[in-house]
Amino acid sequence: MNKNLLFNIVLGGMITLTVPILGALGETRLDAYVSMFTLEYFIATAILRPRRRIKDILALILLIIFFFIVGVRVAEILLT
Amino acid sequence: MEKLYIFALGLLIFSIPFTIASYIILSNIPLTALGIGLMILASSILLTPLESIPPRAIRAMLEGSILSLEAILEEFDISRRGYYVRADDGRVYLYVPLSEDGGPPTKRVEPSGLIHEEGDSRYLILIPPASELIKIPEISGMSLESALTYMLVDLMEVADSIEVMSDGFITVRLKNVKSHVTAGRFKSVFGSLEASIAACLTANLIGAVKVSDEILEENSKVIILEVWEHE
Repeated sequence: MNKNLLFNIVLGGMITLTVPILGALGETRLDAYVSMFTLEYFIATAILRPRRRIKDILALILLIIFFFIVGVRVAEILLT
Repeated sequence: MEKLYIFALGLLIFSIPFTIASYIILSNIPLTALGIGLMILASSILLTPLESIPPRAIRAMLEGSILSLEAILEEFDISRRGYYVRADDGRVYLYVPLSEDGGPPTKRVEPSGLIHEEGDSRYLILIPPASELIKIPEISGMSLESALTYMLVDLMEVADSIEVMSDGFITVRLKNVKSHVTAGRFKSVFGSLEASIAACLTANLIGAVKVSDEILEENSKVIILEVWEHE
């Protein structure tokens, strides 16, 4: 199978599994979901290495959001 | 536009208001997360190229280029194993000894013409099939093993996996090799196609390389490369 297509199938599968699993566990923090999506995206990218038409701006955006989430959490711990 | 892109665009257009509505109106975090997930998936599909060159086509192009080299080798009646040497212009050339084998050329010069003379040694200079392929930016900065994996497993699907060991010689073990070139002269001068690519990449990183031996094992092939470091 074309690994580019496989990547999108795997990513879609992981995202649709993450939401009900975390939802069932009673997770109500949006940043937990987004962090999981980011993690899944990078794991799938590292394993399947899909080709991209342009630079992988999605990875960059997810990474920035992830660092922002982590930064906010660290700041919360330090300031309380 | 292809159907998949239309689907991805539709998904993206649907997921943006869905996410906003889930967060603001419904105040439902799992649904909001689902909307974000759909946005990520739609963006990923839009970033993915629909038509990439199939690995079989790349392999076929390289195998095709072997046939013309085979004709040259037949014409000159050459069957000595050549040396892959990185020249000053950044390209890897194959130096085939025309008289007795006195080792690789010691100087790293940009070759001009077909014949290179160094002391008593004369070499026929040929350009290996992968000499331009190894200059692609995707493999710049990669280690030898990563570059070989990218080239032979990901790009060309010549083998299922690769293992590189270094102990004076560089040993490359390829699992389930799929390339089958029957050009006999090419094999004796350049090595097999996969060995030629491995040697080209190694020469590009180290300096000078000779395909010392190729051993066929059950479900795998071992390529042994002899290396000389150039300044």
